Amino acid sequence: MEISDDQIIERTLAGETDAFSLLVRRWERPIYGLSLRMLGRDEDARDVCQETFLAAFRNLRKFRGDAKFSSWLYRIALNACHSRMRKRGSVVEQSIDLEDDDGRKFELADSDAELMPERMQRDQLAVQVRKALHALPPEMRQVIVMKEYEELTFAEIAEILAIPVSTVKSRLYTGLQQMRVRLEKLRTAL
Amino acid sequence: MNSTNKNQLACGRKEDLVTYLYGEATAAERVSFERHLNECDDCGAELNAFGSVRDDLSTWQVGFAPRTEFVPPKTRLDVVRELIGMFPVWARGLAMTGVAAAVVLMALSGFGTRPGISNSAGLSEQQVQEIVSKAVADERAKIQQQYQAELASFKTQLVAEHQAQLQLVTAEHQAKLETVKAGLRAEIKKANQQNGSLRSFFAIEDDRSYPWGDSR
Ligand SMILES: [Zn+2]
Repeated sequence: MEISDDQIIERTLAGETDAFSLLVRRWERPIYGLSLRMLGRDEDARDVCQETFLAAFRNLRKFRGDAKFSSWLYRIALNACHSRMRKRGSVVEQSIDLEDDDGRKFELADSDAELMPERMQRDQLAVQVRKALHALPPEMRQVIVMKEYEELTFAEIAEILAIPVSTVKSRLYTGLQQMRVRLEKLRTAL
Repeated sequence: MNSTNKNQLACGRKEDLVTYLYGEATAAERVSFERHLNECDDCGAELNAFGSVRDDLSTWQVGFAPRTEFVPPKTRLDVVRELIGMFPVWARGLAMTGVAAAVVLMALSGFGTRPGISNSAGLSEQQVQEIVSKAVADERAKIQQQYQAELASFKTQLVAEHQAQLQLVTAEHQAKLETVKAGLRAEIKKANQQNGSLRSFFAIEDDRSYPWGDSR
């Protein structure tokens, strides 16, 4: 059976500090994904990832077993994202990476979408999604990111953000509404 | 009227709608909301629109995640904290060495294999205890000095120190202590046994009991 997060934490706290790297391997992908979608830039997401695991390691003794370790980790990562956004202010939106999975940069083309190969259309759509997501207020963006990409439950998101489940749901609702409007606008602009 | 500009659904079931949309509705909630969908065009339209927003969102996939280089951090503060955390163990360990050394000294000189038994017979229990406590106190003072000197030298190389090494040192230290302690126990026992047989051989009248006696 796979060793649980709590068991790894116990081992780490008992002095086996290398055990912590198991937690890093296990959670780096979701934490990176969350940070990338919150901040839009690979470099920032990597930094936040690093900061998150360092902060978790340093504060491991403060972690209470009543919440899931992943929830605690997500919360640390979101805090790191928010403080980065505050520091950078509006710069973030302008410097969002517009790359596909292979790291190629994209420009929003103004040519006829009908004539483009399917892959290009999909990539362009992904760029629009990034832009639309980044134009959302962070409170809504984080709920969409956690629900849509991290596939967390409403209860888990509520725990991470320390807000009621009903607030999570109404933020998600409003976020989706705004995404819908923004995506429609971007589509017609093409 | 463009429904996307509304902040609220007229029916007030936006939370039910997202619960249903993300498949988190219970069986009863699902039935209830599906019944509502038959009557509420707004919810139906919203559900479709959100469905295509979700499709759009799914186009942004993160194909890779860079490996996070994680080395357990060692700030100066961390190392100092660890050292302080270790203090009781070290101090206890070193003090034990001191006590053990003092006891061995007493055991060997007092009941040693040399026939200098008359010396021990000449000391009162109180005197013996005084000597032992003095030896322990001296040892403690020495240990404290040593520890402070060590701490001072540690401070200069704190950043370079690694916890694993520290743990190794502690473990080795404790292992050595255990060996010394075990050896001492055996030595004391042997000394006491010898003392007992020598005493009976020389028929020394001595009803004193020794604090480390083998009576138990
Ligand atoms: Zn409705």
